[in-house]
Amino acid sequence: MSEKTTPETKAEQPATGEEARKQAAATESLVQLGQVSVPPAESNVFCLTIIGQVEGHLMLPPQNKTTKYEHVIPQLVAAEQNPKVEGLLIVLNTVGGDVEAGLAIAEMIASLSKPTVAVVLGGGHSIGVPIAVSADYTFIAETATMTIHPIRLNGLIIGVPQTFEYLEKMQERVTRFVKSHSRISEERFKELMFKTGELTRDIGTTVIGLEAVNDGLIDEIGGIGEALKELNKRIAERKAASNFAIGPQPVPAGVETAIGEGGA
Amino acid sequence: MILYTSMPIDRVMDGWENGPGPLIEIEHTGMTMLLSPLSPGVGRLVRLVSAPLETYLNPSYAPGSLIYYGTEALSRRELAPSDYQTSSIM
Repeated sequence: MSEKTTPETKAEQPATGEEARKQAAATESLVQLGQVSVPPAESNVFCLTIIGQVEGHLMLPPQNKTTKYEHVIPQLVAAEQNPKVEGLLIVLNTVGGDVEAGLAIAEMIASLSKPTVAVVLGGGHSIGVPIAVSADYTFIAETATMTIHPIRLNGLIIGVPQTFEYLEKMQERVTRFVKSHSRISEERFKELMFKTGELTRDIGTTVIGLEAVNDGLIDEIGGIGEALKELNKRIAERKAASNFAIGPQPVPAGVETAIGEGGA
Repeated sequence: MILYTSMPIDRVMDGWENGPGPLIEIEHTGMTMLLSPLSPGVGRLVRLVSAPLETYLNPSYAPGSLIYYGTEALSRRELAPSDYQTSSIM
């Protein structure tokens, strides 16, 4: 990574912090190269999009739009580690996918120390549900839907005996995760999952916008604007909290003595 | 592997038997990448096998982006399907 050098000459009216730096970079490029290149806007928010099928251990045929977990997981590590990234916006429009990969992504998002806000646009179905609820705060567009259905009727399974018990366990993993990361109760989630009569091909429920909020699955109705506002608020709160923690620290006893002795 | 999806499984797995096609693994600018070759020196990124962490935040190295590696790619090997597809479902 190249370090940006601070320009020798300062602008006549220096602005503060980030603004000043951008302005200085633009001025420098004008002076040095005779051209104005707008420095690329650096965002403090990393946007992660979860689209199409969440691809797991098998590569899906190319007609599928996929989100590849082997890319998303290092991305989350990089976002957590990169000091320029102060918050994550997770945008979901997914039809589900691999259970293992989906839960891995959801667990990773839930374990991040930086603020995370998720927005469900269009749909956050099946394994998209735990991914959506894994963020600190969640939004759903008014028209967006989430399909909650059992794993066993729409699953693909390879060479596993005792299929029924196995699928029950897989379902339990999803249920437990959703319960512990949202306000919905286990009973209500299972009720939605096994509800008969609403879906023609499968048993389960499709919840639309406000219904997901009323059931406690999602926190609020909203789109990108609301989500970014919430994320910026959380980033500011986190900064304030860390500034407070850094603030006046008690001086260790040994240091105090040493200073005292030195001064005497 | 269990697919938990609201999309019909036959639509998802359609074309499975054709496989992902030939893939090549190249080492380029310090990264090992798995590419689906399009023409000599150009490939579509399937995944980053090993790369510096910050590369994952760079959209130009997102899966599906075009990689121009030229003809002087340091090491390149053709992969047999068994190398990247761990098991079969049928």
